[in-house]
Amino acid sequence: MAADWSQLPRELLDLISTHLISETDLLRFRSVCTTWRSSINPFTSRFPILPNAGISDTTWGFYLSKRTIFRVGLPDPDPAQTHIPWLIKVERDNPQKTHLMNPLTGSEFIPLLPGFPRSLNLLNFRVSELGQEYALQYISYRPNANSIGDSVTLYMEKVAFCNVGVDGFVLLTIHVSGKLALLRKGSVFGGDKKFLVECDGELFMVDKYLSVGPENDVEDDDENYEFYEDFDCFMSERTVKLEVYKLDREEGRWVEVKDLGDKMLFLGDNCGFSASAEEFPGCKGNCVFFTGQNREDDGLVKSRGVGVFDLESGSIGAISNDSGYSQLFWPPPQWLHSDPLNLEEGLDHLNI
Amino acid sequence: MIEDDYANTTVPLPNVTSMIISKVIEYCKKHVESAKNEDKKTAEEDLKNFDSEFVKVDKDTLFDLILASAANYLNIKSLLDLTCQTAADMIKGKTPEEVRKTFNIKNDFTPEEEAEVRRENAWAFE
Repeated sequence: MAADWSQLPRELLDLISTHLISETDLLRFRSVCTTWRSSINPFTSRFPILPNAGISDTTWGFYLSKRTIFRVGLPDPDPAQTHIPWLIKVERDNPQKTHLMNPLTGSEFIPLLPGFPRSLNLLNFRVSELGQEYALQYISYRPNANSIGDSVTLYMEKVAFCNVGVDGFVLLTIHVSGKLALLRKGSVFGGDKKFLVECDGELFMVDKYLSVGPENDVEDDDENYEFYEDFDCFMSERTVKLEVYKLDREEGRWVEVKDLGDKMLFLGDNCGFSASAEEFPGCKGNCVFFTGQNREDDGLVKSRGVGVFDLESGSIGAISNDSGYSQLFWPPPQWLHSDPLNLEEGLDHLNI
Repeated sequence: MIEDDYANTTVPLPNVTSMIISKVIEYCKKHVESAKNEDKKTAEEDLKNFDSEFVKVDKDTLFDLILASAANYLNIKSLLDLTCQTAADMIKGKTPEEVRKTFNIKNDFTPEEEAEVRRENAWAFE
């Protein structure tokens, strides 16, 4: 007699669901049939609002905004053959108003492209969570507002660094998952910005070397240098090198990594996550994605773009518009909705 | 687990085939043997390999194993965890329709429930 999985006793359905870690998987579990649906209660993951404890005259309080980074793809078998999945960050603090954001930066993809549906039904796509990001927002005070009005992301330091003795330091950090990590190390790293990313249960640290200065189109000319010093906006902070380290837990030290194999590391402003190139046809692994500033031709700093560092070749730079990588984020892939996109407008929103 | 005192008592297990019983016995034997192994590291590795091979069975057998390991008289927690984890791994990342196909489940939602399910799984932009 064939097994009827819909008739599994409730406690066992419950037990199976405890092995599903992500909210998305639990949501899908609830969407299979009536018995499975009734074994898990609907949930809302809203953080409470922290009252303004006299910190400011203009805020009602603070709340923690949760954003999730998703990989959205077609189910098997894949009719579009090796389709490029969609990598997107979503904020759904208010389920009626979903915000789509650049997975690495804080910027939102607005206005939505014409022809884009007002609501996206994800039941027919494979959705997996790659990571979460939390941003502390404050709610500004508006006398006649009935709902949460403008909210601004506060700049938060998540790492405490402290020199201990002559040759050591202690690094205290709150990982985006909420875990607190304390690391003690003897040697000093030469980079300017450090990022922590978890990948396959291992902790990686990426050391980013920046170079601040006018871009190469300025001659090594003393006169021009002084001119540029007066105008901060002409200074672009460029990433010139990335070094990747992995924490060797047994030895308690960082070991440099020259080859990530299939893995891709993503260093966001407020989050870090990883993925396997296997899940992203068209992309090769062994690379690190990061954010950087791009300079527009008129000298003003453009909005932040995405760069990629290839560990194999050592090349580092902005992702080019026609590479497989640029199709990961925006515009959303063709197969996501039936209306064909106006490609030109799509490129404007790429922020690259 | 069944105590030594009761080694010779028969335990009623309705609705469990002899095939499933022998699989459960195989699991228990292996885990008991492994616990006696002096070399902890290879024992752990060996057990992990055994476990992953053990659950490579068809869905019907997996179903029966889950029920059997949960049964009151047997109550083998580690086997229950292993089989439930296996089932969960078959669900992760899939669409609800794919899950239904995998486990041969019929979509029995009423139109209203269906609409509710769609709402829960949608990203509404305005």
